[in-house]
Amino acid sequence: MALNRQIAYINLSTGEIETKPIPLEVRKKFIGGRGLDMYLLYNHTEAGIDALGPDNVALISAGLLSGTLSSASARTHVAAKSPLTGAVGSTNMGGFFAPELTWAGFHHLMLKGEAEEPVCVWVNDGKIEIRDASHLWGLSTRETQNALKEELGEEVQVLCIGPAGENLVRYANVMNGMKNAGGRTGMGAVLGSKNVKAIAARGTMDIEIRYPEEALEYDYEVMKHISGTKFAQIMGKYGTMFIQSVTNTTGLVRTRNFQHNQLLDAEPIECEHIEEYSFGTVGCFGCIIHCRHRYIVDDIYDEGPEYTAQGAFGWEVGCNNFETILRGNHLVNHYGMDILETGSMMAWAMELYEKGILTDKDTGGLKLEWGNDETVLELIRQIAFREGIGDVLAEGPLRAADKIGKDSLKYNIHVKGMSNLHSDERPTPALALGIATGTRGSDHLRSRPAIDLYHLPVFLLEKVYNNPVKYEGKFTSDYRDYEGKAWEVLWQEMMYMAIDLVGVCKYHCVFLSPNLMNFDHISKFLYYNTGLEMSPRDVWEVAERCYNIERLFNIREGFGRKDDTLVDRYFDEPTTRGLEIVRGKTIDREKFKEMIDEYYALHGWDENGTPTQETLERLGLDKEPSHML
Amino acid sequence: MAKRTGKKEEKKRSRIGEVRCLNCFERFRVPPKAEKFTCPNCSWEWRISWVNPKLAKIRGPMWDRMRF
Repeated sequence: MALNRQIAYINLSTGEIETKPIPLEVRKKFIGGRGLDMYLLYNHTEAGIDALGPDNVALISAGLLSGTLSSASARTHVAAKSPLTGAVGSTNMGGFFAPELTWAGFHHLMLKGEAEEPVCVWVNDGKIEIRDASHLWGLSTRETQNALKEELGEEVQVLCIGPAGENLVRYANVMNGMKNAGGRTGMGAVLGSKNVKAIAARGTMDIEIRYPEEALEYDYEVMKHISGTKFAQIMGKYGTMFIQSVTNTTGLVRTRNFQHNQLLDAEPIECEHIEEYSFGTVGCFGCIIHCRHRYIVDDIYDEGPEYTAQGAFGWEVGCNNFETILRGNHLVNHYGMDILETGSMMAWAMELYEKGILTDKDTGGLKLEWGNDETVLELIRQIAFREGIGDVLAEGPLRAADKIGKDSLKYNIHVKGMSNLHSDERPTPALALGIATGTRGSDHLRSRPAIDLYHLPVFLLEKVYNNPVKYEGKFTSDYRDYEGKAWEVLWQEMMYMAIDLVGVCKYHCVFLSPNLMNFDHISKFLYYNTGLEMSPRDVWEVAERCYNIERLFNIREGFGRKDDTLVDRYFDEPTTRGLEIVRGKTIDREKFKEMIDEYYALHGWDENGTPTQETLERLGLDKEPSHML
Repeated sequence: MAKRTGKKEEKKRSRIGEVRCLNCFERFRVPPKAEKFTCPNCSWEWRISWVNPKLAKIRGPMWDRMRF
């Protein structure tokens, strides 16, 4: 059964491999996936280590429901100390790797030390081998996967890095398949620093489902409900690109870095255009939504693009050309690099070029002009191979700003050294609070109350956000308000953590629709598939415990209230475009401070954002690191 | 499976082509196959696309109106 999947400790320096069962008491405290990874990260690293050195650990995991009769349980989680931010490194990806890892007998792999030569970790039906991968070094992510399938078998699933990870680009990603990317926080660079080109998995070990008939019936019921929602139908046709119809139309995206909040005349990059290039949609393991297209443009064949590609190679850099988005999407997948960070760094560089802070001398003559499609594509390549100005931009916001100097940092849109999504949160305080307080930096996937944008009636907000824990304050439907938003952010933190513990896709939970899975569903899926009896409130408490472990990691690294903030531009520069309801908006400093105060209080943290002793005791974290595993 | 009641059927039918105005947040119904529609509440004009014959979505604004 799922509960008997093991953890493997793989020492790349010595070649030693140790496997252990995961005790039930650990499962009950941390469940698995992202939460257990965070426990392991906190317990197996010391403060102040070099994220790209041998003392960092890289964790690769599947959620507890991965590969079971719970649909969309495809998510792989990768964790380490982030080389981009120095804070929690954590990224989550779809595809087919996590179920294969589970069927091979493991839920968690911990890579320690550093290999002398490039290696591939091969996990095959309970056995683990460290293999030479010198011949794979230098290959793209797709070439690497194809080569390993040829060597080890077509059924093998591969998680790998591309040239960007080898070149230690601080936002290099890990990839599985053509498009499934663990993009954020530079986990590809951590693998690159350890000389790990790939992890391959193949498994045929059954998972015993505790109550198979009930599990199937319940899954069918939930999936039938999800597939009937408007959200799933739109998502299945356009993928996440449909979001642009709301955000760019309203004026909630950042254009030309942060100078505007809407790309005008954006008809050429609207999601409907994908139909001109697509020849069908595909999904991850066990998913009914199929949210990504397979497309061809000239000699390029790839999957996607997602909303992030639309922003990165569209409105952020001022390009209004759908094919640039398709080509840019392909290049970052090919080289193994985070789309979001790449687009943001390019947009920042373009604004610096416009302001004369970067010149032709710095760029080697490359014209970093808005809307220059060729520059965008060339810059992606230069970053991946650390050539010219790309070598500077490959360092991420803080280190690149140090190298460029002058007042370059004030133009960068980041939190804790990680770039923001191409969204503009000045009209939306809830979303602004979410990115400011994210444990891994500016983050739209770990706390964003996206349904706040839908102007939902208060009774519906109460129904969603008072389950399983009640909020004593008031909710408001207006996304421009500050009231009740601190709780919405906290609730979403718990929701996203809970779904990451079990390894199910976020698009199946309350994220872009209020009608999807919540804590009740996770409780039932856990029971039917594994036999674990956890109430929705119990699941919430595990999520809270795991979120606090992330916070403790960051505090140990020196992060605190000073880092839970936004760059000054959010407070000082009003929005310039969009519908009248979002024009002229800034974040109000005083109200923002009050939101942070309330958010800390709701968490049980002190005024610096540190969990109080009482909170640690309530969550059973007062003796961490406890080294249970 | 229980037979859908007339009231539920009517409710389902009434949501066909319904979208929410991004400017005033009121819901309005778009005639089948319409490619443009003006919100009856705030008079904002939208371009419309159809996910399927029953499901409309706002595609974008009339860009001329976004210049000010």
